[in-house]
Amino acid sequence: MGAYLVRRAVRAVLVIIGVSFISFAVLFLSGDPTDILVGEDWTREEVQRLRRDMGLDRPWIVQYARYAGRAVRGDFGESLRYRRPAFDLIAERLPATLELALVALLLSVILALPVGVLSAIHRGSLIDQGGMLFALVGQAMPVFWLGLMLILIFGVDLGWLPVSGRGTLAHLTLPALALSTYSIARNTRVIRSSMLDVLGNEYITTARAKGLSEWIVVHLHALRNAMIPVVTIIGLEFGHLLGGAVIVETIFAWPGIGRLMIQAVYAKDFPLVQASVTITALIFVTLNFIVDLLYSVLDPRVRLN
Amino acid sequence: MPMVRQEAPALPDEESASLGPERVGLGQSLRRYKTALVGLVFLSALLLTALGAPLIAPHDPHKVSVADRLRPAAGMRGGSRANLLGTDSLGRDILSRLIYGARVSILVGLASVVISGMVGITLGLLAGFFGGKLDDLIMGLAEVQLAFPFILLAITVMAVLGPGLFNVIAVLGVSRWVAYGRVVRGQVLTVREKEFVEAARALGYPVYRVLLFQILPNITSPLIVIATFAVAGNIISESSLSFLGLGVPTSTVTWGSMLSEGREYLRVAWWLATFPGLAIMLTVLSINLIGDWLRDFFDPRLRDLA
Repeated sequence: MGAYLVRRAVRAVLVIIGVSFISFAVLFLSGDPTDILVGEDWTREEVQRLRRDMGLDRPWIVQYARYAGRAVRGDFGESLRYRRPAFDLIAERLPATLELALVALLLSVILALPVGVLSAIHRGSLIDQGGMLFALVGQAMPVFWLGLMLILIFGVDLGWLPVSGRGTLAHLTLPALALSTYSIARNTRVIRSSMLDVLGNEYITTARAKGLSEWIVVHLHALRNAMIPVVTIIGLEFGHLLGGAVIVETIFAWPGIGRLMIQAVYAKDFPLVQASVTITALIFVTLNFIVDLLYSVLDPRVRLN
Repeated sequence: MPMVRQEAPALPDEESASLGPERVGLGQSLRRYKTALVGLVFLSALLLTALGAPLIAPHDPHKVSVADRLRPAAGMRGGSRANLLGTDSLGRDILSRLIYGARVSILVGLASVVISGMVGITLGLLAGFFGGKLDDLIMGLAEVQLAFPFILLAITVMAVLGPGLFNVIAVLGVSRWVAYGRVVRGQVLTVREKEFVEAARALGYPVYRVLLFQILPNITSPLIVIATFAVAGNIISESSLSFLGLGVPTSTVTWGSMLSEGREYLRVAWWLATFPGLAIMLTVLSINLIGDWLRDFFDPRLRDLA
């Protein structure tokens, strides 16, 4: 376990270094930030002094080292638009995004689990067919369209739920539903097929042959093993949800990192864009690291590879 | 209990032919898979419509007609047969815009997948052939890329590059190579150790040719399946980017930008946002149905599972 932990941690650190390279490259390629800062009346010397002060006259590798050194200390530069540290702006909005993504994640498991399991146990039944139809449609709906349709039906026509902002549970309902639909659909399919897979194993036949009740076979023997692939999916799912949050937050005016990032994109506030992408990726890498550790606890075979 | 059928995957050699009557052809399998047939029919119709857009579209998609603005679909109060699906805020015909929008979706979906396929196959072959440092580098790059939620990376790069049809294709193409790369690399590693490769090498055949001809036929089916689902995924990604104003410039009609315009009029004209979304959904659904069918056809072990 110890060796696996170390190996996995080293890999996570390497990935983080890679992430920092890519995010640095994005900002580097976005052009000279002094273009935005410099006024019309600046002299050449003034511009050059600014560039020197900002370290932009140095080779890219030196600039990268400076960037990485600062990032390690939590300094991701300053937003051009807000004139405040990007990290602070993101930290302020992080709880909103995490709230949205976690609720969506929770929904995607809570709703998919019973449907997936029942579909597998009663194959071909009405619930199986209904579940699979939902899974197909849910995976084909673009999240921004689903969001707009939810606003149209529950906000505009029925007037039941608020369609923008954050605050009460009612505010959270539509964005969480929009964000989680794809995941619910996918998880339903994964749980169903994983369950079918497990139910075909010999130890299930043995359990049945021993005369154990079907309830015990399903819940104690099958479900535990069927959950293994689901745990991996959940790690990946969270990345998908963080990505989807960008669009959902934009549609529902949810004050999270996603909306902050899109607004920064429109304002050409590249340091803030870079910081949002990088921090999101770091959260994702850390989370996958944790999921992998969990996974190795659930399934000892993983550690041996 | 799942019925796991013991049919061999579609290997292009005599081994599979000897399995005899158990094996079904592509056409026969399609007849059993009614849903995929429906998807295929819808997609073919869409493709023909997109190709023949100038002939089929009832109106010029850019023609502004202020007198007809925000007209609802035919059959609704205030609707007219002249504009079957209604008009937008500038009086442009929605059906015609949907037809022209299909061109962009199909073009981006297919072109980006061709690019990711080429990039992925090349990188996968290189990683598998040479192994060592190059392998570490390529697979490391894959892992780093997967550390970014895909749409975030796409948004960031599009923000730097600026909107453009070519940019969208390039960004979607380049950032989605990993799945192909991994399949190809895995196959190279499997085949590389086989005795016939040793034998071929001993006989003086260039190893890369042996590998290439042994590897690519073996992985066509997983690659086709990955590519099919990727077309659907990239159509959604393109429309997401265009919806955010970071995809194809608004001078070209796209489903995503139609939706984005429709968003402004959600309260007064629901059809503006509804129809383009339905078009995206039906297209993606059709492709996914075909993908499901192909996956099950190529790998019968998965037939009853996924």
